Amino acid sequence: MNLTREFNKGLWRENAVFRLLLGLCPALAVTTSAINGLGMGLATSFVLICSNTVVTLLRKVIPAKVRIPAYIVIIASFVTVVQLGMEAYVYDLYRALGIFIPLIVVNCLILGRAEAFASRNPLVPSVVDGAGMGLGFTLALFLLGAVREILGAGSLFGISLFGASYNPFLLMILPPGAFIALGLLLAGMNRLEKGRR
Amino acid sequence: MAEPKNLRVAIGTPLSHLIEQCGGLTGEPGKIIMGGPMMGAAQLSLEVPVIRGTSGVLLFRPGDLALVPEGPCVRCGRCVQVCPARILPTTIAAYARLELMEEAEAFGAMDCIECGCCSYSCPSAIPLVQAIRQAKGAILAKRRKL
Amino acid sequence: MTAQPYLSSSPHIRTPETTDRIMRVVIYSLLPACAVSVYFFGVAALVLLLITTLGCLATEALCQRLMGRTPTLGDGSAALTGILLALNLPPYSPWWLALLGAVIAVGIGKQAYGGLGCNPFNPALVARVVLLISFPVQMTTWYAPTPLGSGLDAVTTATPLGEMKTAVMLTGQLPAGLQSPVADYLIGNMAGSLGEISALALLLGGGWLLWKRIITWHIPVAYLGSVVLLGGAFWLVDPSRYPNPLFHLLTGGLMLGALYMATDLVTSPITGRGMLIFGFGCGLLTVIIRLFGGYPEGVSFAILLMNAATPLIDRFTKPRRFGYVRAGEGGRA
Repeated sequence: MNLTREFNKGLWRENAVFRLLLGLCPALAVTTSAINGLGMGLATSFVLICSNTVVTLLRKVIPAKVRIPAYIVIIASFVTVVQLGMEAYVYDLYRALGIFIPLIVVNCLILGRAEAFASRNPLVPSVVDGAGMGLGFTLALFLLGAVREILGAGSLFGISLFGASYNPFLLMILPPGAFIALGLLLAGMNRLEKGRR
Repeated sequence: MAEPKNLRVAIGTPLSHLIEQCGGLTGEPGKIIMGGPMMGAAQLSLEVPVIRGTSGVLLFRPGDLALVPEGPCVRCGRCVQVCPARILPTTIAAYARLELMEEAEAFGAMDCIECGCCSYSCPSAIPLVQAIRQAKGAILAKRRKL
Repeated sequence: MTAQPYLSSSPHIRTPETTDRIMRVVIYSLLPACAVSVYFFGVAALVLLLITTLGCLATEALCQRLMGRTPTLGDGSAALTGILLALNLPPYSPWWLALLGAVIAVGIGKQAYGGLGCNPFNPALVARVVLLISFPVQMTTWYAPTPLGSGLDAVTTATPLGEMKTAVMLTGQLPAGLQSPVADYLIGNMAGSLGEISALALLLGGGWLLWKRIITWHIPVAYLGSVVLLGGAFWLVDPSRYPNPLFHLLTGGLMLGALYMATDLVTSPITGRGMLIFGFGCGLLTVIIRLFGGYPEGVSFAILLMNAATPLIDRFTKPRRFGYVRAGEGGRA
């Protein structure tokens, strides 16, 4: 099995947000700034890699009939770890992401990878898959957050880009802006893909 | 046609004979229609005979053909206003063109009397009645099969 | 016979009416309103009109090019959106606001849905509401009209509806004298968006549209009528707090909304009954937002909300087919 391929597919070909349209709830809700997107992406990646590891190790032990509850328990454990960790060390980000950190438990991306990949593949590919998918998700969230922050607040990572005379395009950091930004990014990526072929 | 006339002729007379009686053609006909402009049937040649229901013959000059490129439906509702059967031509035609015949039937495609008012009035030149006619044909064919 | 005659199924003739012509007539009917706006706000109004119109045309061309569709600049729908958008902007709006509005109107409001005929919301109103939410300062800075030759530069002021909302919120009373300058409101000598100020010019254009049968009476009558009825009912209950129906009719964007924005062919229902329901819904929402909402003016929101309800209305207002009897009337007809 080609590990580089497994890693790369998460970045572009099977990118969780832009290709599979998975995990849209956090992708749309928390990406009001680049740092929020990045934080959410990294938290999700951590959970994804850890849960993939544990699921693949336990794949022979978990009875098929109760596998979904078992996966959820595993995922929830790691989400708790992330939540407590973030509350202790990055409290501001923790406050900004709010309810969406515990909601990582039900992120269909994580459950999807556990079900579709980790439960059928050995340890190393599963970890690589989790890392690739997580990184792809992080990149997508960062991109979405950056676009929305630049347009909607005129800044990136809280640093003002255009000076005081810039009139922020407020809609972009409001919920409709998330949909519009995602739609336009999707259209742009499809366009790029078409051009390459 | 040189002089349009009302003629009393025997069934089976070819149209070309009628034309001769009316002073012949003044130019190449662009379209030959048996019946009226709204519901009449276009004919392939002037050798077609008069039949029992023939009420009149219309000849269009090539320039009279109303060939307007079709545009998108702008939902102006004109077809709905003019429809004497009080159905929604634009909706039915849209379903018919997507081959969703069950939906077309549910919206009353079979109640269409094919008067052509919808197609006449459509500012976007959408062939509404033509699409509905097709739907009716498809629905009837399916009924026969059952 | 040499050439084969053309074959097609009936009907063989068609109306001279085309979509292009409808769009053109609507544009012409807006000229009086445009003229009034130029009279009251000077060259700046003309510049805004030009920016939005050219912006809409350019966006349409760009989108159709990017998406590989046949360009349809000639049908006039983009130009019409541009003019309507300018008429919905405050006078002396900055150029970038107008341009951004044009891009949003055609790019997101129309082409993203598939172009003419496919958009569920009125593109010009989508742009106006997006701008209103994004740039509340620029979109609610109003100027008193400065007629040509008055020698005045711009004077900022509040719209009559804005004045009413502020006063009612602060004191619970309508400001004195707000309802008296009816003639000014009629010809457009008040603060407001470029195109919404002159009820008279709009009525002129709208009347012409009705006469030309581009629009039907259903939506304007239902819309204006329900505003008069509902606004009037509140006025009768407490005239010191709620304005009279005439004030409702002549101020804000109601005329522009009822005659041009709500009657947009694409985003309104197709049956007469549906249009009546649509107009009534718009009127109800407008009065509620004006009297109890956070914004002083509710026409744009009301129309957009009813646009969203249009498919539903169409579903429930299918006309009774010819020869069918309404359920329950059992054989009498």
